[in-house]
Amino acid sequence: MSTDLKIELLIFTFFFVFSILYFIRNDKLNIRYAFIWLFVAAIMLISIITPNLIYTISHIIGFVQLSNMIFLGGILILLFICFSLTVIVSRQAESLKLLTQEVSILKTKVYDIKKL
Amino acid sequence: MKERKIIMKILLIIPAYNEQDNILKTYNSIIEYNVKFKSHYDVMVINDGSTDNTENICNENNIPHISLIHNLGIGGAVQTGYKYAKEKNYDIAIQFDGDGQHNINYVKDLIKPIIDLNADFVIGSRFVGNLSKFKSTKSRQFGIKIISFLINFFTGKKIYDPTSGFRAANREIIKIFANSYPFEYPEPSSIVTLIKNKFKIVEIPVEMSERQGGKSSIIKWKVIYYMLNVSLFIFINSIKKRSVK
Repeated sequence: MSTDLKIELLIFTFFFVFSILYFIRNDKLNIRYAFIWLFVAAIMLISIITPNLIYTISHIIGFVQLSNMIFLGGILILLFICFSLTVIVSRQAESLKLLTQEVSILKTKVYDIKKL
Repeated sequence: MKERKIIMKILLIIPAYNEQDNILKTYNSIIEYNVKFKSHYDVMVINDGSTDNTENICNENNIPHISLIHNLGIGGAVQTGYKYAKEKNYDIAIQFDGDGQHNINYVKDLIKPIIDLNADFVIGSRFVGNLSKFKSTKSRQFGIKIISFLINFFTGKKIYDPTSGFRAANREIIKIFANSYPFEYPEPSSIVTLIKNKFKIVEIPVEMSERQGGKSSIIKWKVIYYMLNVSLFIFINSIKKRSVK
């Protein structure tokens, strides 16, 4: 990997990490959900600093091309994130339903009491 | 035993989404029936975030109603009714459509098996007996046949009208539905859950009329998508291990 490319990628990664931290700091990203992204950033950082390490790993696993491993890894991580997002959405839909029902029942009760 | 006269608290849950043309007619038919036959069916309309005049009509005519602050769909609306029934300690809860499809005269037949302790859950069916002249369109009948077949395949019980929204539940099932009621395709899905948990389900013949206005919740071009989804739901519900009791 050329030094120029390394510097470019490092700048990109730092920008990525900075964005994550910025969003956490401003309460726009829950730390619970930020963890996975910080993990992704860490992997990116490690692969940029020591490309030989992932090169060795890809050989041990049996990839002919390093890029194949990186693409597969990236897709798998994204799949995982997508799937867990769907799970989170389902959980939130359930609690939203519960909230709507309970608030609506309560609202009716308050209205009925007022009428008396 | 025959003289056993226990007053049962009975609630009609009427889910209504944009039913301004029908809701008052439906409500009046129940009140007239109560007066005529000295019955005591309580009514609770669940206004599922209607965007038309349903809310105003309910207020003006003193129709007991819960207005959901946001549209939840039929499953969420009906479940609200079951929650209310559980809270108010009703013995029997009946799902009754607000669009004039269901006939109040059959409620007594619907609750009879529950009162006689012959059933936990009763479905008013278009396809049992010959009462109902209106049996929906050919394509929809075919769809219902497939759903019926799938339920039979996965649970071993034949339900002829699994999509019927005219159903009565006893106290125990009210509690279960109040806690968990399927979001999507609630009618067939909930039947599968009940069969899996060994509840006794009875189907009785009822007469249904064509919708008197408004739109059915199942739109024609969505039928295939609906069928695929229902099949999946029946399958998933039938493999769910979790007992609801």
